[in-house]
Amino acid sequence: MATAQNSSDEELMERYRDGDAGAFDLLYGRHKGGLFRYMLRQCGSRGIAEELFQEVWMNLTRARRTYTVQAKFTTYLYRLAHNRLIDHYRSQAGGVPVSFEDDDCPALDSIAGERRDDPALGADHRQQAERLLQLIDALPEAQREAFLLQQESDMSVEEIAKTAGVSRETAKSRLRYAFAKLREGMQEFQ
Amino acid sequence: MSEIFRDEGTERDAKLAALYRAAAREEPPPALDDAIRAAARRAVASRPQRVSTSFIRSWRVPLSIAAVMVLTVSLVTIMREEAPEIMLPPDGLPGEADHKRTGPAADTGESATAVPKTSVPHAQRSDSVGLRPPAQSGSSGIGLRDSRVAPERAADSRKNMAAADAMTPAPAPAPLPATIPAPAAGAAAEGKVQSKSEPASADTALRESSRARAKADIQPSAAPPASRMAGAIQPRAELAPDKWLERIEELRRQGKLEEARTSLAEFRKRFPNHELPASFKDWAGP
Repeated sequence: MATAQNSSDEELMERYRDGDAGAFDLLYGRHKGGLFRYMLRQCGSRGIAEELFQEVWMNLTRARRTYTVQAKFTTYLYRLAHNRLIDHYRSQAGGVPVSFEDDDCPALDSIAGERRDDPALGADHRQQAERLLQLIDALPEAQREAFLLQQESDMSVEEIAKTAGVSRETAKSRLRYAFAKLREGMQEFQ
Repeated sequence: MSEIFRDEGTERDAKLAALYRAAAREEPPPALDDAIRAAARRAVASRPQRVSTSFIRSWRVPLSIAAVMVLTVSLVTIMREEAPEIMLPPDGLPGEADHKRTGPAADTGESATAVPKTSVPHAQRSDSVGLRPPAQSGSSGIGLRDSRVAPERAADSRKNMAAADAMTPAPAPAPLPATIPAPAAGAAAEGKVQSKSEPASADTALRESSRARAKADIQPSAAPPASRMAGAIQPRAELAPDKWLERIEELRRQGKLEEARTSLAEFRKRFPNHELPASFKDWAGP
């Protein structure tokens, strides 16, 4: 079991493909939190997030027979999640958010000043954490996705681009603007 | 905290990341974990079933080919068994009947003399003869079989007739089989055609043939061979006199003098008052 725990995600997925159910348990344990939070932040509703989260894992089990190692497992897993999320957006009245279609991010000047006047913010660490989550929720979907992919699965810019199906420059731009907004929002804690 | 927000040009921020990890701690509910893990195990456990599915998939094409072959063989077998009934026209087998009609006659040197090639449909022939019961001639299934049997019996009758032509010196009206042979009917039809030019002789021939058929109706179908051979001459007796004489002349030209004389003797018995052509007097005698 110690060997399995030291195995990479890709090796575990290959073992699950070959019929090792224990490998799936390990994979699931490694990535369930990050994927769940990614879904939760992106769709905003816990009930919908649980539903989409389960569907992504089911899609993974169904697709295991054709799995081959072509990229990092996290890229593969979050690509499934991204596609499911886009399908979810399409089924909604608002459709796919504009931020996924628009590669150009707003100018940095327009970012300043957002949510500055929130009276509920405190100065302690817990308050900073809550404020950060609020700022993340306020990010455009595409920028939030880039930020979450980096934070939850430790992806590089290239991997984020691959997962989101955009160019490296677009992924980098989304990530930079996400950080800029978050930093701007956290200025009051200086 | 101030150093957290100073590095605005980078795509990574360690302090922000640490703050996010401290803040974001949501996890899926344990029930959902269990459900997903169970589903994953079930998917793996159902692997043997997929193996059998792939086995079926690999044998799908050979099995399909085998099934098609079995069906084809069965259909061909059934069609062979039922083809004669399906493919026969209501008239029977005209081509076969023609072949049988001309074949034996050619063998005996009577090229199309026994039965003239009149293209009278079977139904019309039956009507002209007027002996077949309406229910029988009008029925579809049984009538088909009867019309198919008739040419075969007629062919037998023609063979017998050809033999009788050569063997029997003094033909007599003989009973016909219960089923009217097609050539007889054809001859009767020809008689109708001939009646335009020679009404008297044609009527005589028709009367003769009607008499013979009336006898045939009385006689059982299983007649002795001798009477059948005698009956084989019957169609010739139904010929118009001129036609008959033409055929006798043709026999003579072919060098079959004995047959010609026998037939001429028969002709004289039938038509004693009919005047023979001048060419006959050279070889036929007084």
